[in-house]
Amino acid sequence: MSVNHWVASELQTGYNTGMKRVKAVFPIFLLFILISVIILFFAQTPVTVGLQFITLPIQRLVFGMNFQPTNAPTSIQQLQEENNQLRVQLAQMQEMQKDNQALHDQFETTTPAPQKLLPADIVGTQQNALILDKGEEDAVHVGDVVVYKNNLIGSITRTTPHVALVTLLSDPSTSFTATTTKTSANGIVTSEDGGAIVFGNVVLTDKLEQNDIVETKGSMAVDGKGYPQQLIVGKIVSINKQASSLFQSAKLQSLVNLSQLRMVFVMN
Amino acid sequence: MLFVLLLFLIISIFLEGTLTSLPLVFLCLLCMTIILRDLRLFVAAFFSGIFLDAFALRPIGETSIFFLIVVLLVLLYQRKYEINTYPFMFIASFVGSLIYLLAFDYHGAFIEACASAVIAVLLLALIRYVDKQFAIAHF
Repeated sequence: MSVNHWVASELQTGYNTGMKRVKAVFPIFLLFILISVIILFFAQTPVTVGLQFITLPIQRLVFGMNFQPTNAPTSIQQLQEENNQLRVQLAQMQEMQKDNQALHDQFETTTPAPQKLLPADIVGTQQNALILDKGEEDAVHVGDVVVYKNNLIGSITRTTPHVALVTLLSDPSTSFTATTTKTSANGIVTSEDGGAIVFGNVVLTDKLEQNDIVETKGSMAVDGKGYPQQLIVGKIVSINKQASSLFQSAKLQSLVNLSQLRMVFVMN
Repeated sequence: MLFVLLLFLIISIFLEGTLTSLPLVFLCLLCMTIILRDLRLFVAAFFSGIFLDAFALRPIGETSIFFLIVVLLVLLYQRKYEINTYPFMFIASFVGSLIYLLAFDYHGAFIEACASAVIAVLLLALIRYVDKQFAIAHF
């Protein structure tokens, strides 16, 4: 057999195989689409529960490998941490001055109350969201608020039996009322598309100050869902005030470095 | 080669499911489709979608449907046109990523799609390089 004949026969064989494969494309495609649709509409919960037995340990492992705890923080980090703590203390002090001192002494509890907190490990991050290793079986529900110390992190927006998704304040769906601790300016916390947290809708007569702490004003629904009072949202880093505008706004910076967080607490 | 591609796919599932919002699994699957052009790709698309949904807490099955449709379209397209090229990889990954990110409600989809297109071209170059080295080593 000449080389030309051999090449022609090989090409023909390849073409026949290719044609068979092309014919087989649609049945296989339809088969997998059908399975996907069945899972999507009829077997969501059992498949999710089954898969999460595999995925949750992997997520813990991969996230744990990526997470680098700073055992020996640098002096700058120590100072930042100290600075943040002092700001928190200052905010608390200002709050106490405004309220009745005796009432505060009577309760003398941190906000939020410790008995309501469920610790949860972060096992994954998404765009403007965190994945926690606690779910419905741990009494985590959609709408529960997630905090770290007395800093607001976000709220639970999706749950499965073993895992929950926390939507962060940087998500565009964020919207709740807040107030500044020093000047008592009221406004609404939202998020810009770029992920910046904005304290907006503040009337021009209210005063906004750089580095003032913004905390939740409290917007609890009848069923107990929503943001409780006095959770710290962040500090004001820049102010946008124009005389021609109806409102002024400020950009906020969270006091919590999310990339350093390994554990958060779910208020339920 | 199949082993290397599968390794990339598994790593990208872990990374996308845990650490990043870039559509790495989609890009990896696109690379696999361009190189392998095989029916086994449907199996890879199905299972990678299922696992990705489980990692990302999305309804199980919806990413699989998207991946399966993409694999089908690329396999149909390759009947008439050459797909193992950098321009095809760039355009397909950009358009596919944009649709993927918009469909799954990611923010900043355009910028991420641009980044995805660049990553896809680099990934294809890397896979070709690995393949070449593998062929030289076994010659």
